[in-house]
Amino acid sequence: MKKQSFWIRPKAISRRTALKAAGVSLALPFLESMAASGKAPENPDRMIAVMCEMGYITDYLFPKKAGRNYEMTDYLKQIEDFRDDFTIFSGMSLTGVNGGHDAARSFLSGAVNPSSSSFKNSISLDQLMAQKIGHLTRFSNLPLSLTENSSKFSILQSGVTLPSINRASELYKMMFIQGSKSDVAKQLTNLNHGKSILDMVNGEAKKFAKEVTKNDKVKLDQYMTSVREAEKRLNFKIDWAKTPKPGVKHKMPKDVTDKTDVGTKLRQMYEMVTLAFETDSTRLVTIYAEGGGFGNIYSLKDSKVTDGWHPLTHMAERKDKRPILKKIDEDQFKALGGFMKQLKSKKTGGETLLDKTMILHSSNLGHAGRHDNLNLPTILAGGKFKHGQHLAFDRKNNYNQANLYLSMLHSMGMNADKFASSTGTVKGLDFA
Amino acid sequence: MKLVTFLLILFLSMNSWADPRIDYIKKFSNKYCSDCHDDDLTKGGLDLAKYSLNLNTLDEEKMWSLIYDRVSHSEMPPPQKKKQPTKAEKEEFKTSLSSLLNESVLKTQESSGRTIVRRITREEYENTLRDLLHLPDLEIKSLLPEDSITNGFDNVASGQDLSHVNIESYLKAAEYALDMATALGPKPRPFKYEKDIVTFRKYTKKHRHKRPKENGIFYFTAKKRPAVPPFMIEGFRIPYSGTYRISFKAFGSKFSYKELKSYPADKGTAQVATTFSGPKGAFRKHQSFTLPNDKCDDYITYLGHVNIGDHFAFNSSSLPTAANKPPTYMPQTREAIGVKGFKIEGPIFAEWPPKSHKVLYGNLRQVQWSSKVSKFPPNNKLLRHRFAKPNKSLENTVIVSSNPTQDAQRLLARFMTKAFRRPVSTEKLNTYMSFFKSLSQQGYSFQESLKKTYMGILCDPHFLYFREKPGKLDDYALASRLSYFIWKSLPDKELLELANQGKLNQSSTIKSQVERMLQDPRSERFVQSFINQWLELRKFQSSTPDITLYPEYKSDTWLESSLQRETYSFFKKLINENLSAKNIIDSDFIMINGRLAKLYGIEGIYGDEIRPVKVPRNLPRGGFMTQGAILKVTANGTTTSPITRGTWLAEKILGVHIPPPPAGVPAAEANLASPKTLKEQLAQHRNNSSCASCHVKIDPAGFALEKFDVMGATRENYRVLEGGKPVKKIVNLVNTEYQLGMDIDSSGTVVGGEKFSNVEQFKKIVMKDHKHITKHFLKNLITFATGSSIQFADRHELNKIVDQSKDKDGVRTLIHQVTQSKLFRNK
Repeated sequence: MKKQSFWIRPKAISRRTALKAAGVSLALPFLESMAASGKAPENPDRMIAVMCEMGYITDYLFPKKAGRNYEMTDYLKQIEDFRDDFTIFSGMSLTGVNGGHDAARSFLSGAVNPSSSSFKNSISLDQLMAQKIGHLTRFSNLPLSLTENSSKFSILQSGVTLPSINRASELYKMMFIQGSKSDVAKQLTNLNHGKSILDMVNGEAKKFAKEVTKNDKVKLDQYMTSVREAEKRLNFKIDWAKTPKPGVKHKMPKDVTDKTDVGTKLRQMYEMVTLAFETDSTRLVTIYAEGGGFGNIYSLKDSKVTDGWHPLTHMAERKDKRPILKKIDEDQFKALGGFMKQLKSKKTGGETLLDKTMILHSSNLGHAGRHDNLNLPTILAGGKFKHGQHLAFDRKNNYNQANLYLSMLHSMGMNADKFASSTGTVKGLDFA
Repeated sequence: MKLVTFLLILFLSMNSWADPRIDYIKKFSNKYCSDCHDDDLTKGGLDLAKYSLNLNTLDEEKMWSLIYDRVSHSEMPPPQKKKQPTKAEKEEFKTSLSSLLNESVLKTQESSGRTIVRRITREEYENTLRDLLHLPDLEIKSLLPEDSITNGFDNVASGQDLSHVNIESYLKAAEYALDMATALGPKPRPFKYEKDIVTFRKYTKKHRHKRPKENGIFYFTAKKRPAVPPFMIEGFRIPYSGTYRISFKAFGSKFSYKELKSYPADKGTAQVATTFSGPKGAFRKHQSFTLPNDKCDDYITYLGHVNIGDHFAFNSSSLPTAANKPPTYMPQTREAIGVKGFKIEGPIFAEWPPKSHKVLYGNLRQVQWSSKVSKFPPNNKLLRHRFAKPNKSLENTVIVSSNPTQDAQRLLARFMTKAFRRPVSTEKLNTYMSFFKSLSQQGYSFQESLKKTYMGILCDPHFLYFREKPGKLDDYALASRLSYFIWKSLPDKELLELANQGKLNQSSTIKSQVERMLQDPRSERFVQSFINQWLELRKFQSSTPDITLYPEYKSDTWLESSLQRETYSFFKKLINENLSAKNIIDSDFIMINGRLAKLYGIEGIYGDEIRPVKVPRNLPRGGFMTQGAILKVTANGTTTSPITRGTWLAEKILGVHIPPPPAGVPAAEANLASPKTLKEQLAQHRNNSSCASCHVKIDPAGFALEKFDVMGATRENYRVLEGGKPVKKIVNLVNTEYQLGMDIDSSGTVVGGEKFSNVEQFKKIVMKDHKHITKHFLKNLITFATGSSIQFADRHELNKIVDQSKDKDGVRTLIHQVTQSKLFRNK
């Protein structure tokens, strides 16, 4: 065996080659066949999207000067060490996405009017990417959150929101704890039984579909497609269950029990994501950085916080409350800095993990105090882009953030013409 | 073949060109509409060229219905435009369009029905499994992905999504529920814990200050220290999940910290306590109690579900909570709740094995597994769920049958009939029987094989979807439609029996069944689910009042639960007493308890029980729109916005269509730092004609509600953070400060020019068109009951119901009218 890289990939799983141009319109069936062929790249492309639920005081985030020589702002100082590894955007938002907090659902899908009573969501960026690269890893993608059990913005093609994992220990167990032989055998039995059940109900659906009208058949077809898809996922799980999980030095994390310790929870998740990337357990992650309910406090190590995080954002213009909210904001940027540091410290084949990992760090809200959905606090770090600049767009007439998603899609090797409401890739953001 | 298709399309399109109605509509819209609504200038986002009159899609039908409405209400073309259609032109346009729409919709309804095949929602899935498995406390909703919402409701078939995630979740949820239902081993030994003097942990070790005790009675008073209730009662551990009898002795009193002595409670007051159980940090509310004053000789007893390892807690709901800030004002003697005894016994099983188990496995024998029983050992994951310490013997227990084929067939047939809500064909039963047999033959135990078969049933499309055929519903489909409307769950034995006899589909039977179903406690699910969706009460918890501006609402869980109960109880009273739908707008009674009386400023009402109270003169209450829960849902905890509230009123109550806001326009928000009213800001965009077209409909309704704060209390001034008049007062025993901003003006002018100066006058104006509001309520009710939004051709049937109801517009009568209507009785 060749020198073992730190990518522990005991099994090469490849995908049918029919994958030409992936685009929004192209619905790629998951895992057609997994005939082993080709070798996965040593340091593959990855993407993580982090959405803070509450917005930021963007006055401390956006630099005044545009271009490469922009001045550091209070928030950007927290990640100053990586100045050349990120781009800060101002004057950008998702066209047609409004509704205050409701906009969270459209954060990565760009689906318009999320607060409408007949809102229909569409596929999110991470899920579109998962259609291309999801089958290459044990977990096609990992939707994470801090307390909720919804990923909020990780959306399947059908419009269904993915549930999320909110405990670091659970994530660790899924990725690294290898059960005993009999546990694995039981797990395999259950998976196989699951498959037989699905096989049977699919047969029942076929019979059902014969006796319904044309319009109803569409729904039953959706059911059958979902069942087949679920069967494929079970096959995938069966294959992976037979493959030993990678071992890591990192110990199992202890879950944070203090509901207010949002900062530590976020940092724990970042640590787990680093491990996930390092072991190539997944290449796609979303983190819903939420505060566990609208009244909950975001506590800080060095200051006493008495107001809930959400109420604080509404008081962003208050002289007495603004400093504490600023500290909370800064804490998240510090955590991001820590994450970037970890990714940058791991190298393989001359490139760091950060070089191959796009980090989208933003929010569904623009300015925290106004709760609007304009001028989103967006940072893109890592990946193949030429960073180190402030791309300043019109703060009054915003540039479409969906264009950034299209750029990210291209960077993943998916050359679609369009993503959601995009009109092209971001001008001024070039590949390095 | 291709040529034929081509010719067919050609023929069809020629045919539609030849339709004089289409010609006329095109002529009309070219003349009056396309100046603004073409691909060049798509005002209001409408490009008429995009919507053909073939009406092949739901979108097309919806858009043309909307165009019909806007033209008939003379909103379009805009009145200020010079070019206006003549009366005759407008009439012909309306007739042509409505006949075209009716024709097209009816054609689809005839061939496929109004409703597309509907999937049970996750709420319905949970209820269904609770009823099917006799597990009233089963919590399973969180295992399934959220349902998407269409026209306000989660059961509208056309908008229901499905993906592999749902399917995987159904498997998981089914397995979990089946595990929870299974009871292995001998009947658990009853557990009992009893204590005379209750020691509350919070006051035992950690806190050094004096314990508020006297004569073996523990006194809760306003919290001296910041502490978040509830208080845990410790000293025992719940060994098994199940129903427990919980008893305590508690009473309202007064207590002096200094003397450690109690005093009689103030006359006319009544304290309220709430009990909880659950894991620490995730307590579930059990029940609230109004306590007697000064003494309590008898136990207050109730039955509650407690899970293994749960803690039990007690919250002195009606006492002020001084969270986060220590009290700055502490009267020596203050309101208190005395607690003197606590008892918990259970679990209570009416039978063993419990019903949930018998549904699945009857009374079949349980033995210790050995390789003689089956090749594979049991996989008793459920032990973790139900029993404290899974022991080897329990883990090794397995259900067996000496007549596996016969037993499985008997049990499966019974279960499938219930789950599929209709008789099961032999073919279908055979499919499941062969599945069961194949697992048995592979060497899995009887129990394991049967369980996996049940899992299949619970993922089967006949379980997950409603089986309805175009035209009149058959008796079984009708039974399900009734039960999922009023119970949000399966039809019961009686409904299925009537369906079996072919008697259900008679008007008189439907009537008596609806009566019976409304009297059943399960109808509470209809009340809550309908209100949660129609009036958006599901969003109740999504904002928290700002404690700086509104210190009086801090951590007031009693207030929060009372507000929700008010709205549910109000609707329930309309149903139970068949009160007029006019009450939706305004009523001469309100449903309140002690806490709400305090919020609304009514004296002499104490305790927890929600009861009808006559609205005192000059109190601006009555109807839904002035209920606290509604006012909270339409606020964000810090400020209120007339736009949000106006839009809510228009869409939910008044039945006015409001299109989504244009892209790129920032939301107008009240600025807490400067007390300039939002009203002035809004005046600006009502002067801009493109904003005005919607805002003349939105803003006035919002203004009418301006004098209500974020929790529904009345106010004369906005509360602000700067630039107002400082207010200092003691709230919940804490010195608080906020500022009073500008006076509030709640006057406005409705479309049509009528003016109002307050919410009472606004309600009077709205009341003039109460028929329209009744109709809008019915639209929502029918959507909820049938899983399909109101289509153009349904308007006729809808109007019939409204006309029939003339003076008999009692809400119960309306529910009957709906269930008797064609819309309900046909697919």
